[in-house]
Amino acid sequence: MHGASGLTQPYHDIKLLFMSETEIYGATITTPDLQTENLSSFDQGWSVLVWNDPINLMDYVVYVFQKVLHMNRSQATKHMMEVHQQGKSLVAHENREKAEHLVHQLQSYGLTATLQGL
Amino acid sequence: MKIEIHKEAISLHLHRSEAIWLLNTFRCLQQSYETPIERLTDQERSYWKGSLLDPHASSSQLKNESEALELERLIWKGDRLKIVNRWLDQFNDFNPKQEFEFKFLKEEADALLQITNDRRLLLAANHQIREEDMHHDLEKLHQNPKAEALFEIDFLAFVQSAVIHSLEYEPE
Repeated sequence: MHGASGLTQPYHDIKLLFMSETEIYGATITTPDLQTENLSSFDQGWSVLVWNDPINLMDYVVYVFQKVLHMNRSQATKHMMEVHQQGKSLVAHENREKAEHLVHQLQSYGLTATLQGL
Repeated sequence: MKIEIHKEAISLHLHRSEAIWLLNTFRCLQQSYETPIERLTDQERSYWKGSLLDPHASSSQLKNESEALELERLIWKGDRLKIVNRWLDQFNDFNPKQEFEFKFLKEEADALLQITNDRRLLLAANHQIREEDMHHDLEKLHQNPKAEALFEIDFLAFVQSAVIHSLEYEPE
């Protein structure tokens, strides 16, 4: 993908949040770089939201979540259903640069994805 | 439509009418991609502009980042024009009286999904298609531009589903 986001590393260190009814827990694949990175609080609190729209196919949204966010099929389906039924889903929580990169990637597939600071 | 999965490519064997629909889709996209953004319809201009933040956020937030997204979306527009032009070349020998094979590399599958989705979303934007329109009964629709848009949106959904499922299979 071409980009103005400035992210040049392969994106293997996505930190995803999966929300259940009563808790939030993270499934994190973390690279050593991320562990040692000294991120400011500004950089840490950015959410990626995907919003419902009437056009995108459910199968397509599941495919894009798997492709861009590296979710497994079950996770991707859960988030797709959340988008469909609740109007939006929080699909990732990252520092600003990585969250912005994910929004770009999701939008490149035509999903309505936005960035939200916490 | 029948799908043939090769080791490194996928073929869509299209009936005549399906081939005409796909050709029309690519031609319309070619025109949209090559038209400068200032000459597009308001709906299309808004589509290509995109938005980094949800509508409730202040427009002054992340101004530079929003401009970067806008620039990147214009880069996609140019990149996709090159791909569509290449795919249109396949139709040079198209005979509307015969079935047609449209072939693309598996590594281009995502581009096909993105490009067909551009068309679906642009049609929806231009014809102001809403949730309730998507639950239409195609047989009851009258001949009008919105009905034709809904037919094309449905047809491209069919193509997208077929491509997504074909990517899950590996030929022996």
